[in-house]
Amino acid sequence: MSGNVGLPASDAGSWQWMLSYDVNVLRTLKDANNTLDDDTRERLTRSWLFQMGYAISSRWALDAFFSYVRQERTIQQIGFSENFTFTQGIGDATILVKFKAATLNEGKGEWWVAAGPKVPLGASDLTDDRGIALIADLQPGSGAWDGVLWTQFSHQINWRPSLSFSSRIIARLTGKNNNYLGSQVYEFGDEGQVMASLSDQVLLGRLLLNPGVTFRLRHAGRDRTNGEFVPNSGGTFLFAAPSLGFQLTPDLSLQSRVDVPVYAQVDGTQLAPTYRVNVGILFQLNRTKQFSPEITPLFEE
Amino acid sequence: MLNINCMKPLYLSIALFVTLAACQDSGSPSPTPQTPGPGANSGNNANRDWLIPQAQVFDGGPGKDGIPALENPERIQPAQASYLEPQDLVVGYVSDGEAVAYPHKILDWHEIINDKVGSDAVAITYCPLTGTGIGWSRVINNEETTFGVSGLLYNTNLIPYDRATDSNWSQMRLDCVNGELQGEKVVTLPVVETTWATWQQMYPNTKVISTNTGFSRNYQRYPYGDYRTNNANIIFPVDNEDDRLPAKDRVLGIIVGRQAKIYPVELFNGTPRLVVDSFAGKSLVVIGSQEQNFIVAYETDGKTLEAVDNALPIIMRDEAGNEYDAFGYAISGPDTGNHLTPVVSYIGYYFAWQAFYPGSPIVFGLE
Repeated sequence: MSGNVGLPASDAGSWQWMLSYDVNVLRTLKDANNTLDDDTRERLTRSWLFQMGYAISSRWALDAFFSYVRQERTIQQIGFSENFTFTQGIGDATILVKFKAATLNEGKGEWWVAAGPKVPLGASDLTDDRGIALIADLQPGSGAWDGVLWTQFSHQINWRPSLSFSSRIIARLTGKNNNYLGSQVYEFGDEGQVMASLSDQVLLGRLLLNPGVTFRLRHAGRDRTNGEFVPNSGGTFLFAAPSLGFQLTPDLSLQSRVDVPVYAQVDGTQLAPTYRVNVGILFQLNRTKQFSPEITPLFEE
Repeated sequence: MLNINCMKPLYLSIALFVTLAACQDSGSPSPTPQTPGPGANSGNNANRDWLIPQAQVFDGGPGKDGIPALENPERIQPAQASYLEPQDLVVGYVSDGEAVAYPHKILDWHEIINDKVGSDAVAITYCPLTGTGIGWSRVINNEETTFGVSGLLYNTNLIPYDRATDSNWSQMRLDCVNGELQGEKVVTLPVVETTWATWQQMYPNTKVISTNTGFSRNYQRYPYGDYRTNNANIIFPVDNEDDRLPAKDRVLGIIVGRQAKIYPVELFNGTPRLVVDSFAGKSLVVIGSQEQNFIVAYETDGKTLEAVDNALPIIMRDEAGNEYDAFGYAISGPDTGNHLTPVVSYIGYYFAWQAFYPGSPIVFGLE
């Protein structure tokens, strides 16, 4: 979920709230970079994500990211009954202190950097309905304090002011859950993500649309138990993510995005992402100025 | 800097989040230790009564049947088994003159193979995390059944479930630990774990399981990284850590009642070495060869036995001239067709034996 962290930059004194629903579907069984012909297992992570941000000044901002997570696992072998397991609860939270490091090209570009902790609010020791302890991957929380580093560069394209390019890098340096399964130390692999996005603004009648596309490269290191690598964990993934936003009012927008894996190289054999859908609503308050680039109608009237 | 006015939206935000959380399933767990989760369909058996400490039973991750057991898999001739190297380990079973090899390369991915060999309904149960391969009868209370992988682990060891009653069984304890059949004992069937090369020398007419299992897996890759050799790498919690031997040393354990005695495979270095020992009132013969990578144990039945080298499938003979194979059958001599009384024994990682049978005596040297 760390790919969702970080609200857009806004004006000093303004608030932003974003509520989104995110479904991450894993049912592609991979061996290294080969796809195996097996669809008997599925892992779903359904998350309600709530972000709020406050721009303290034109250079400083605070973001807070909360989640409510439902983890699901379904196994359906041919000829046998389906086995379904889930947990749900408040997930971990992330707090970012953001700083605008530079304004570029007469205000057409910005570079932000941020850092903060991921706070282990979520439970990491839930059991199934028989009281059997479940593994880390099926828990809503990680049980560990992580460090998050975040940076974003964005720039309007000169020849089309409504078109903007942005790039984001997120690193998550994981901490340790020292009470895993009662007696073990568990550490998720460190994670890095690089995203490059193009987004535009177009008018469809009176409706302002924000189509875009993001390419996201994610690398997750292997998890560790008591310092030893956990087999079949970690990998490198490239996603293409078309998105579409609807600007309902100057302060209210709907956003949607679908992440489709383009390439995956996992360690060992693992279920890998099949697709991911995110829809959300963003509300901004106390904005003092509006960004009004030259917007092109989608269809000439 | 934050001021009072700007805090109002903050309060609103927190209230919104709390409301959001409260709107979820009212049965949702709170983040308190060991909170029962609200949702798992554990099949027909949601019984919470276990013979073993339930708090030490863990979900291994793949889930019930997430590691698919095999049913009567295709067998092929040795010449067709190009996926096997001579030193690859197999679990071998023989019944009514029919010999079948179940390679670790297949078992690592399926853990249980339900099969019929000769007239025997057998399940080869194998736990990659404890290194234990054991033959189980599939006949329970006169009814034939099959076993599946429950996805649960106790002392990081496989818990099979039977498909007749959905009861959970402990592989290394050899009994049913949860469900309708709780307390029932496993009827073990003798297997020999050795290399593919040695097994073929013992049983040239053997067949072997094909990689055409109906499941798409990379059988050439061991799925647990350095687990076999890294003594520090034990993925799930276990009881009774004991450093008298390295954790991943392969040992033969002999079980009599609830006691076990341990024979490290490496003691049997070189050509077959034989030791006559006594344990829990039984006179035992243990014979093995690290070079040929096998170790088996039987009761002596009052016989004087000696090791035989370079004569596979014969591994030992007695004073009456009977010659025995690795399953304890006399294959030549006056008692041909009879066999030495089997004892319950199987090979596994040392740490696992100490987890299940703490304080078991270890044989550190052969006379």
